[in-house]
Amino acid sequence: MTLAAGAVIAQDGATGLRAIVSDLALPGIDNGLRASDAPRPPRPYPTDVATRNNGIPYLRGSIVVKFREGTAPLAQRIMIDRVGASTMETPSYADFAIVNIDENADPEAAAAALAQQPDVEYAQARYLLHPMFVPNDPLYAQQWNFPAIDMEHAWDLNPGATRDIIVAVLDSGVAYRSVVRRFNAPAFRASNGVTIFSFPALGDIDVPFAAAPDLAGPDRFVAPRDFIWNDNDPLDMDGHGTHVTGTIGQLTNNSVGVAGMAFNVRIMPVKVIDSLWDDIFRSPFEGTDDVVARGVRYAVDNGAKVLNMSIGRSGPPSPLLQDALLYATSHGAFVSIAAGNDFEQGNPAEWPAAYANSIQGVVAVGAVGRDKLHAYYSSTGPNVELAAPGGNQRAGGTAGGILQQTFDFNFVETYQFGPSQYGPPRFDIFAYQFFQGTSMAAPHVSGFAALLMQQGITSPAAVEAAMEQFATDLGPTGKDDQYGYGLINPRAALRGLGLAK
Amino acid sequence: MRRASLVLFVLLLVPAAASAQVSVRGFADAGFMTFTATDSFKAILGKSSGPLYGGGIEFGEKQFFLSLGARRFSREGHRVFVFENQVFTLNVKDRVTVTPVDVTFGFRFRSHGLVPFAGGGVSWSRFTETSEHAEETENVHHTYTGGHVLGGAEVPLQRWLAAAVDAQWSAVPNDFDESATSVAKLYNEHDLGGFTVRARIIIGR
Repeated sequence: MTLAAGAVIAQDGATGLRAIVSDLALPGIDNGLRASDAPRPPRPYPTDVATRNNGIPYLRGSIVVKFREGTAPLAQRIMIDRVGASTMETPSYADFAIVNIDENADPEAAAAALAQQPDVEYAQARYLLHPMFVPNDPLYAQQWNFPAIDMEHAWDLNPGATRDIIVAVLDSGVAYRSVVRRFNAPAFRASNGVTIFSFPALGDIDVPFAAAPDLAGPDRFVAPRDFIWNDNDPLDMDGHGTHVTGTIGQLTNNSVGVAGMAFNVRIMPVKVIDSLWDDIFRSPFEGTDDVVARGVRYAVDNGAKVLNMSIGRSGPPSPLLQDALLYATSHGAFVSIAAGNDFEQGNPAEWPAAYANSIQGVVAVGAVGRDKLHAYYSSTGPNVELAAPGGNQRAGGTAGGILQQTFDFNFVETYQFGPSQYGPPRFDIFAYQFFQGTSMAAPHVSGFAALLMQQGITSPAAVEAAMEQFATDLGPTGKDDQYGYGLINPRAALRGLGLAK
Repeated sequence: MRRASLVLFVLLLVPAAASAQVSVRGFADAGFMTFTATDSFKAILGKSSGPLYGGGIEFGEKQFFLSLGARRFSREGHRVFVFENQVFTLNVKDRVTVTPVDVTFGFRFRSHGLVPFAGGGVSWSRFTETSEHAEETENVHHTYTGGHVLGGAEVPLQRWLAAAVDAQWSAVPNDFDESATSVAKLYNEHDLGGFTVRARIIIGR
C-alpha cells in the first residue's frame, strides 16, 4: 500500500501531546546506502489522497485576515461578525489574525466575504502546503549533481561558506538531535486513494530520534523552531527536511557519506510542514499558509540570511505568503522555493513559487536531471527563474535522483506494511537515499545563495541577479518557462567580474 | 614581435644618434596615473588612479627629441559583482598590472633655463589581470596599442643632471567589451589610457 504525507484521517478532532522521555538518547545508526532494497514506489501527490481534513486542501473552522494598518479593534470586530466569526487571535511571528468561524461554514466563501470589507488588506482560507518531492529507490552512492554544476571548482573559490551564514530550512523538520519522546498514537483510518485502512491504536509509545550522522556537528543548528507542535523542537518525522538540509549543508570532506553545497553554514530547522506521523500523533497545527508565513518571519527575525522552501501547493494565491516573502527580502534574506512537481498533473500554478517572479530576492527553482534536461515532473511557467539538479529517475534510473542521508524508511513508514505490521517508528536509523523533485533542486540554490552571501553579495536582490546573470542558458536562448535563466553556475557567479575578463 | 621591433628600433637609433652628435640621456620617473576607465578601475581596485614607476632613454638635439620610456602600474583588488550601480566586492583577489611602453617625438621650446617641451607618440600597453583560483585561460595577458600627447618643462640642475615634470594624456583602445565577465563592458569603458602626471630625473648631457 502507499500512503502519502497528509493521508491520515484522524478519528476525532483532538490534538496530541508529546513529552520528552530522555535527552540522553543514543546517536543515530547509519545503515549506509540502501542499494539492495527493493525499489520503493514513488509517493503520490498529496492532492491525490485524503488529508486529515478529508481531502479538503484547507483547514475548516478558521480563516486568515489582515486588516489595514490603523483599523480600530471595534471596526475589526464588526467586520468579522459579518462573516459569522466567533473569535480572533493574532499568533506569534504574524502580522495577520486567525479568525475562527463555524466548522460547517465554507472558509473560502467566508474569506471572500471578509475580503470585500473596506479595511481588509486580504483574507483567505488556511490552505495546506506539502513537500515538493518524489522519493524513490536507494541505490548507488553517486552525487552527479555537484559535478553537473561544477561545484568542485566553485568550492575552490569558496569552500562551503562559514558559520556566519544561517540557512533556515522551512520544511518537515530536521534530524538535528538525539532525544526520546513519548507520543500517543490513537487508532486511525487512512486512505491510499483507493481503499481505506483501519490502523489500531499503539497507545503511548517512546520514539527515538537522533541527529543525522552526516549532518550534525558542533554548533551546527541554531534557533530551532517547530510551528507544527508549537515548541522549539522541530524533529523531522518525515525525512524530507533532513534530505533537503543535507543538500544545503551536509558535512563535507569528513570521510563520511556525501557532500553538501555550503557545508560550513549553520542550519536553522523551522518545522512548518506536518508529516504522516505528525498527523497520527495529532499535532496541534498543520502546514497551512499562515503557519508557513509565521515560519518565514521567525527565520528572518532570528538571523537567517537564506530561507529554503522546498514546499508548496496549488490552488488559489496566498497574499499572506506573498507578504511573508516580501518581509524576508526587505529584511535581507534570500528565499529559494521549489517550483513544483505537477508538470504532468496539468502544470497548475504553485504557491508560493508563483510569487518569485515578482519579488527580487525570491527564486523559484525548476529541476533538471543528470542529462541537464528538464525533469519530467518539474512545473514550468514564467515564475521559474533558475534550474538546478533535482533528478530525473525516469530518464536516469534510480541513481538519477539526488543522493543524501535521511531516515531508513523501513523504520519510519511502518504503516506502509499494512495494519497488521504497523508499529512505532524510529527516527534514529539513517540511510543514503535518492530523491527526485524540485524539492531537491531548491536546496542547491539555497546553498549557492549562502556561498554568494559569504563571498560578499549581501543583498537578496543582488544574489538573485548574480545567479541569473551567470546561469548557463538552457533551452531557448534567454529566459524561458522550463529553465528560467538556465542552470545555476556557482563557480562563475562566485568569481564575478574582473576588469577585463 | 612588438618587443623585438622596439629593441631593433633602439639599436638602430643609438649609432645614428651618435653619428649625428645628438645627446643620449637616461631618465627615471615616478608618476601618478588616473585611468580613463574610472568606474571600472574603481570597482576592481577601489580607486581609479595610482602610482607608476619607470624610466627610459631619450635622444635629442637642441629642439627635437625622441624618447623611449616604460612604466609599470600594479595594484591588487578584488573581483566584483555590480547590481543596480552597487558594487559588491567578492572575496577573490584580482591583480591588475599595466605596463605602458611609449615612444614619444617631441619639441623643446628653448635650450636654456626652464625648458618647456611638448610631444606625442605611440603607446603599447601591456595589460595583465590575474585572479585567485583562475584557470590560465581566465587570466588576461594582452598588449594594446594607442597614442599619447604630453607637455611639460625641464630644468637643468647640474651639468649632467636635470629634472622635469610633465603631464601626459593617453588613449589606448581595448577589447574588454568582448568578455561577458568584464566590469569594463558593464560600464562601457573601453580605454586603457588615462591622464598621468610625472616627475623625472634625467642623467646625461
